[in-house]
Amino acid sequence: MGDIALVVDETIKRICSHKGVAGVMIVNGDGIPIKSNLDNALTVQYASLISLLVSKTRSVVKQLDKSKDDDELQSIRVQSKKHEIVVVPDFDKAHEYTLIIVQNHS
Amino acid sequence: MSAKPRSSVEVLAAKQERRTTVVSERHARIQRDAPPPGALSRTSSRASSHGGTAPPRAATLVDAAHRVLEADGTDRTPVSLLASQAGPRTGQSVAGTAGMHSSGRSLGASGHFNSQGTGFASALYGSYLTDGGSHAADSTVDTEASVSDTDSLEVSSSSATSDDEDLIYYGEAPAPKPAAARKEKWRRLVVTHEPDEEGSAAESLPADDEPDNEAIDAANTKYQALLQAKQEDPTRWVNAQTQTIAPYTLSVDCQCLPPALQSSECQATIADVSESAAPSEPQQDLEATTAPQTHQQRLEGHMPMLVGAMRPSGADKGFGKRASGTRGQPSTAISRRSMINPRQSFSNDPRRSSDNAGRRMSQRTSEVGRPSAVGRMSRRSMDGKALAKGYAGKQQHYQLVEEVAKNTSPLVGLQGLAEALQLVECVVLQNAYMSRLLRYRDMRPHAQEGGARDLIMSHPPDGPDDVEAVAQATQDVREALAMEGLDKAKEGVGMEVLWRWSCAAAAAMQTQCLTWNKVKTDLLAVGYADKNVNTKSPGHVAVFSLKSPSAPRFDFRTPSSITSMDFSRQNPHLLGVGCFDGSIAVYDVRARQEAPVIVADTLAAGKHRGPVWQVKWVCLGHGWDEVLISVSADGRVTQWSIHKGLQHKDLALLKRTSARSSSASATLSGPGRTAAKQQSLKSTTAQQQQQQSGEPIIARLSGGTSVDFSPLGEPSLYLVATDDGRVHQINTNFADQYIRSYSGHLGPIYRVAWSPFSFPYFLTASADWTLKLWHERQETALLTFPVGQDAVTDVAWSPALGTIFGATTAAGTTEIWDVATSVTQPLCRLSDPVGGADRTTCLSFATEAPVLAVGTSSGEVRVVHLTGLYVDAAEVHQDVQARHLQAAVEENLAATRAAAK
Repeated sequence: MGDIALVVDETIKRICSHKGVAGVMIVNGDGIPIKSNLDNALTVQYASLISLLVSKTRSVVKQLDKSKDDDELQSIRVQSKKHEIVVVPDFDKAHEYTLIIVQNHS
Repeated sequence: MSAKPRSSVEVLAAKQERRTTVVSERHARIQRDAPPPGALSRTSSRASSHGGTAPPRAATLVDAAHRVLEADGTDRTPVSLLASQAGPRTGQSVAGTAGMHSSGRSLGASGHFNSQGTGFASALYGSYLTDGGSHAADSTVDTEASVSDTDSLEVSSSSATSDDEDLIYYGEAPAPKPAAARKEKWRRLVVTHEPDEEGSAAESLPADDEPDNEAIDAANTKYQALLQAKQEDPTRWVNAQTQTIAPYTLSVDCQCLPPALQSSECQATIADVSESAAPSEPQQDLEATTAPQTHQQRLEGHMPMLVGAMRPSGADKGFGKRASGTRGQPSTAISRRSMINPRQSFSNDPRRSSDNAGRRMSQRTSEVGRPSAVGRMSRRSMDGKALAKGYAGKQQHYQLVEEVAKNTSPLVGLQGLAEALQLVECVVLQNAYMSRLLRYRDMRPHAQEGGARDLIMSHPPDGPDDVEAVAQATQDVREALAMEGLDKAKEGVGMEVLWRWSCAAAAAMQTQCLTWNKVKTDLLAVGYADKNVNTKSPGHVAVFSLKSPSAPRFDFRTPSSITSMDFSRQNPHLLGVGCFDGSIAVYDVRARQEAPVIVADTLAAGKHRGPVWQVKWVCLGHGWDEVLISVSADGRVTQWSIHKGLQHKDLALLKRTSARSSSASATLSGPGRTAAKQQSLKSTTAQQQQQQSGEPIIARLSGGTSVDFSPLGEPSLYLVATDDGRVHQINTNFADQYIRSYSGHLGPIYRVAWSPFSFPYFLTASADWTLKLWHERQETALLTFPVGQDAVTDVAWSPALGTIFGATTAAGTTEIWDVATSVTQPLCRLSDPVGGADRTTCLSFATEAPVLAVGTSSGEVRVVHLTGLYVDAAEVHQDVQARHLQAAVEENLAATRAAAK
C-alpha cells in the first residue's frame, strides 16, 4: 500500500507546516523516540513525562467506565497558556507507539 | 603392580552388585553436589580396566542391609566417607563409596572410609572436578601396591557411579609421593575443608588446587605409565566392563565466528503478500507463509542489488541473515542478499504484528535509533542499544536501510498511524483556524467589531414567529445598507474568504462542480475536470470537511472528468456523479473507495453521448425513492434509479425548436393543444409540420445544460435549460411536449434554478453576461441582472433569505445580489486579487452556515463567509421570504416600468 506511505508522509509534512506546530514525535512503548522534530533531550523529556500522564489518564478512563464494554483512552489534549500538546497514545495497538504533537498558541 | 587375573564373571558380577548398591546413594549425593566433570567418567572406565587387578576374590554377597560381604566373610560394605566414625586411616586407599553408607563401618582397608574423609572425599571430589581422571587412575595404581587394601580399592573402583567411584579411591595422595606424605597432605586438606552432610561438598571444594597441580600432573604421568605397561604386557590385564551412569551432562557454551554469508533481502508489498498468503491474523501463519514467498521473490530478483551498501555489524549473531521483511515500501530500495535460511529470519520476532508483518519490522528497524537534530525529521542511524532490544541480526539490515533509503517513510507500517495523524491534524488545524471556524458558524470571535455589523447583529427580532419584527429587522438592514450609500455595503455586508480548500492530487485541474452534503452540511464534495477537458481526460473527486480546512478528507481519481455531482438526500452517503464522457456513476463516500458503487459507462447501459451537465437527486413522488436525473449535451433527460443497478429511463428528448415556434410557445405536436397554438404551428417550418403529422423525422436535439425540480411545486414539473438559450418546462408524465418554453437569453444557459422560497420564480444564468429572473407563467424574463463583463457560470439562491442569490462569473468574480436592493448592482462582489485568469466556475451556498463555497478554475475551492448577510433570526418563515421576494420583484418591475415610461 504505497499510497498509505505517501499519505502518512504527506500528513506528517503537512502537520509540521501548519501554523504554530513546534514538534511532532513518535515514541515507542519503551519510551524511545522513533521520530521527532525536536532535539533528543527535549524529546526524551517529553516522552518520559507524557508516558506518565498517559498511564494515569488511561487508568482514570478505565476506572470511570462502569459499563461492561471497555472504554479506552483515545487522545489527550493539554492546553496551556503557551502550548497545546496533543497525545494519541497507543495508536498502534500491538506496539504501544505514541504520537505527540506540540503546538504553540499564536 | 601385579595384575592378577581374575577368574571370572563371578567377580564381575559381584562387583556389579556392589556397584549397584552404591549407585543409588551415590546418586543422591551427587545430585546435591555439583555435576561432576565428564572427565571423571573416563577415569572410571579406566578404573574398570583395573578391575582385573584386584585380588581374586570369591563371589561376594550382598545382603539386604546393604552389606557387602565377601565369601570369606570379609565385610566389604562400602562406608560413607561422611560417616561420623572416624577411624584411623589404615590403608592407603580410601574406600570410596562416597556412598552414603552411614553404617560407618570401616573395613579393614576401609579405614579410610572414615569421615576424616568427609572433607576428604569432597576435597577429592573437588580436585577431581578440576582435574582429569588420570589423577584418579594413578591413585588406583598406587593403591594396588598394597594388596590388602585393594579390596577396598576394588570396592570403590567397582562402585558404580563413574565420577565418585574414582574419587573415593584415590584418597591417598595421587602424586607419587610417599604414602605418608600423601596422607599428610590429604589430611591437611581434610582438616581445612569441612563440608556438611548435606553434600554441599561442592561448595567446600578446595579453593585452589595449585598445591596439587604437580601432584596431579604426576598422577597423570603415572597413569600414562600404567597404560604403557598395559600395552606391553597385555596378559596381565583383563578387560572388564563397568556400567557407568552419567546422568549429568556438561553443557559447553562456545562461540564461533559467523559463517561467511551472503544474504539478500527484498521487499514485498502488501499486495504481494496478500496475494500469496491468506491474510490470516495469527502472526505465525503469516510469517510462515511469507517466508517462502519472499524468498521466492528474492530469487526472482525483486529488488536491485546494492551490495556495496552492506556492512555487517558486530551485533550480528551470525546466523542466517534475516529478511528485511519490509513490505509496502516500494520506494525503499533494499539490497539483495541471498538468504541462508529464510525461516530463521522470521523466527525471532514475536512482536511482529499480523497484517503489517515485516513492514513494521522494517519500520522499527530503520527508525530505531537516535532522533535527528532539531528541525529535521530524517531517518535514524543505527543505535546499538536500541537494537539490543532484540532484533538480532537485523543491524545489518538496518544499516542498509539507513544508507539506502533516504527519502522513504519507514513509519508506514505502523498500523493506526495514519488515523492518529489525521486526528492530530484536525486538532492542530482547529487551533490554527479557530477564529475562522468560529466565523464559519457565524459566531463572533472575542474581539468586538464595530460598525454596521453590530447594528445589524444587535437587532435580533424578538421571536422567530414575530413576523413584524422580522420585517422590521430586514428593513433595518436595508436602511443600514442604504445609509452606507452604496449597494456594495462593505461594512454591512461583506464577503471574506475564510480559507481555500485544495486537493493536492488535483492541483492541475479545474473545479467543475461542488455540492454540499444534504445531511452533514459541512461536508463538501468537489468534482474536478481536466483543464483541457475531453472525453479521455481523467477527473478527480475530493471530499472536504470542516475538520481539515486545508486538505481533503479523502479523494480519488475517476476515469473521466467530472462535470456535475449531487449528494442524495435520502441516502446522504451517495454521491451521484456525471462525467464528461457521458457516464453516470454513484459513489459511496463512506466507503472511501475509488470504485463507484454503480456506474453506467457504456452505451448499452444508457450512457449519455455527451457530457452530463447536471445530475440531481429528485424524489419524484411522495414516498418514492429518489432517482437521479441527468441532463446532457446529447439532448436527453434521463432518470436513473438505483433500485437494481442503474436503470435508466429517458424522461425527455429535448427537441430543438426554432425561434419562431418558440416564440409561439412551441410545443411539440400532440393532441390537446389550443387552437392558437395549432395555428402558430402551421406557420412553422416544414420540419415541424412533419412532426405535426406524426411522421418520424430526423429531429435535432438541443443539448440540455441544466435541470431543476422545484421543491415547492409539483414534483413532476421541471425546468430544463438548453444550450441554445431556452428554458423549457416539462412534465414528467408528458415527455414529448414542452409545457412552456422561455426564451430571451442569447447564449447557452448554464444554470436554471427555482427559488427555494417562492414557487413561481426562477433564475437563469447564461453566457450572454446576464442573469434573468423569470416567473413561470411568463415566457419572457421579468428582470435582468447585468452581472458582469463575462459569462455567468453559475447562480444559486441563498437558502436563508429569499431575495438573495449569488452568482459567479467567468471573470473570476463572485457576487451577491439582492433583488430587494438593486437590480443593477450586486450587494457585494468578491474578486480574486491574485489571478485574473482564474475563472470561478461554480458556487454553492451552505445550508446551515452563512458560507459560500466557490470553485475556481485553478482547482481550489474558496470558502467565503458572508458577513452581515443573515440576520440572527435565521428562522424566518418561508412564507415571509416568499412574500419578500414577491414584493421585491414587483417593486422592481414597477420601477422598471416607471422608468421605461
